Amino acid sequence: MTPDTDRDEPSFDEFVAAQLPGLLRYAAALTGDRALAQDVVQDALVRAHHRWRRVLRADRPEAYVKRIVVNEYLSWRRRWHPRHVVLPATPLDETGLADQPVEPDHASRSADRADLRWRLAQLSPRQRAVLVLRYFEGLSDPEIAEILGCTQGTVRGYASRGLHALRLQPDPSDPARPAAKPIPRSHP
Amino acid sequence: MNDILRRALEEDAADTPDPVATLAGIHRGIRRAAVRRRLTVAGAGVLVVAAAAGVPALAPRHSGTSTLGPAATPGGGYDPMRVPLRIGYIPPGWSPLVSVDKSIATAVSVTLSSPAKFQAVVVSLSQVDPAHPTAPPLPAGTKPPDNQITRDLDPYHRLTVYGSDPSVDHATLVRIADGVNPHASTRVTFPFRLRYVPTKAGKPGSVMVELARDPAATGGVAWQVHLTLDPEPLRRPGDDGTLEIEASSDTSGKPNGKVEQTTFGGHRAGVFTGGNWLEVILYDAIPNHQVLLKVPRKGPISRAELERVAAGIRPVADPDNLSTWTDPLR
Repeated sequence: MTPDTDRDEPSFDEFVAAQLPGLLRYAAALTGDRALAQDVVQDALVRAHHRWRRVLRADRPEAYVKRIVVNEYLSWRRRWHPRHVVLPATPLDETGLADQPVEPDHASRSADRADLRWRLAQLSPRQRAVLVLRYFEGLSDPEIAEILGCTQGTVRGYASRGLHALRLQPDPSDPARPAAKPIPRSHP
Repeated sequence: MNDILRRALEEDAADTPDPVATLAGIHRGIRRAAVRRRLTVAGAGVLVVAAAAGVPALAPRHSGTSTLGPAATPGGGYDPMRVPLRIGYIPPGWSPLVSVDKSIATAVSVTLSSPAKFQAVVVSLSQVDPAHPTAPPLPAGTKPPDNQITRDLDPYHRLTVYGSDPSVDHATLVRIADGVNPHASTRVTFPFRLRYVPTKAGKPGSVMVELARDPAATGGVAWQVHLTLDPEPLRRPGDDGTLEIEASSDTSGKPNGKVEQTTFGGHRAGVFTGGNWLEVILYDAIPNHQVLLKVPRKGPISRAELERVAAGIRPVADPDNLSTWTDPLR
């Protein structure tokens, strides 16, 4: 199964053995769906195997493979998935619990998280991907823009709309917030 | 506040898939890809086959199994615009969406969805290389898992009906398997024809047709078709092609980013040129539907050529009537 590689470079098998748990966790956050996460990681690693030399030439092979994972998740073939996922959770504000005590107890915090996860599942794949890359992976907007092949403005738009849909506001102290000044383009 | 978001994502991340099963899937995918490459070298030509689903009410019933003709053996060549099976039975109330596996050339799959679960059952017809089977044959006398039926139709073809929803009982899987007709190949048809396709766009690399039997269950979306052309047909569906054409009764889709409203190939259109793609939505190429054309900005298809493609789209008389659909490339 392992393509030919230089002796000092990790083989595909070694790479998978080391990275698979992290990639599965990453994909699970990205998709919010265990079966879909497995599917995405499988397909991404099959593709990585096919272009293993190119993966090894990357500065950070694991980051390269993560890009494949996110692109696999966003590919057109999976666009219909979210429409068919039935989530049993009930939005918090539809239960009346949102008006409950200001000091949340454990039960209400759990309900808050369930509500948030329900809202996360309603996001478009790109909105969710941006939020996962920003808040789960801790990437900057320029890094996210490069991964998704779009502009930083687009990333900020997705993040803003995603957070709005989640009824959250950007945290001013968040290190993953966009840079205060735009990064100059290499081509004017 | 964003700690809440992080924790919610952490909770999703904690629900990780089984690494052993995932690893098995990776190995399976790599073996399939290897078989696909060998078949192509042997002259199979365009291999990537996704599939269209036959309309159940029109599909002939079939029971029992038998061999397929030699034309369908490995090396004989796949036609990506042909689906070599029909499904004759779908449980009542099921499958608002009949979709196609993204899978690769060695197998064509039709996915059935129950009202409760997307892709509740996967029906696949594998083209097996006996020397490198995609899955090891079951030992004689071995009973397959209750959620799976596997039948070797001949030395080269294996039918698998797999229930991913535990609530699907074995009898239902048997009935679905009995209803599969491996002799009734159908042509992939689209609700439009393309009068012009640049030669350098390549050949069909992947085709996908999704039909919803109950559009109400899919947010009013009745169908979606997708064709990727590529000079390298080995690429998988979803890989970057030289030209992607998608049409849908879903008119809510739009490119990501600022869209320039203009005229393109004689149609009202929204054009998006950000990122690595030139994406064009045609609002009136198919009345009341939407067509998306997509090419890599640095690819071989120029904007002018894409305009010619757009100008050459000819919808069938009634796009919502499947019997009027046609070969898009004829």
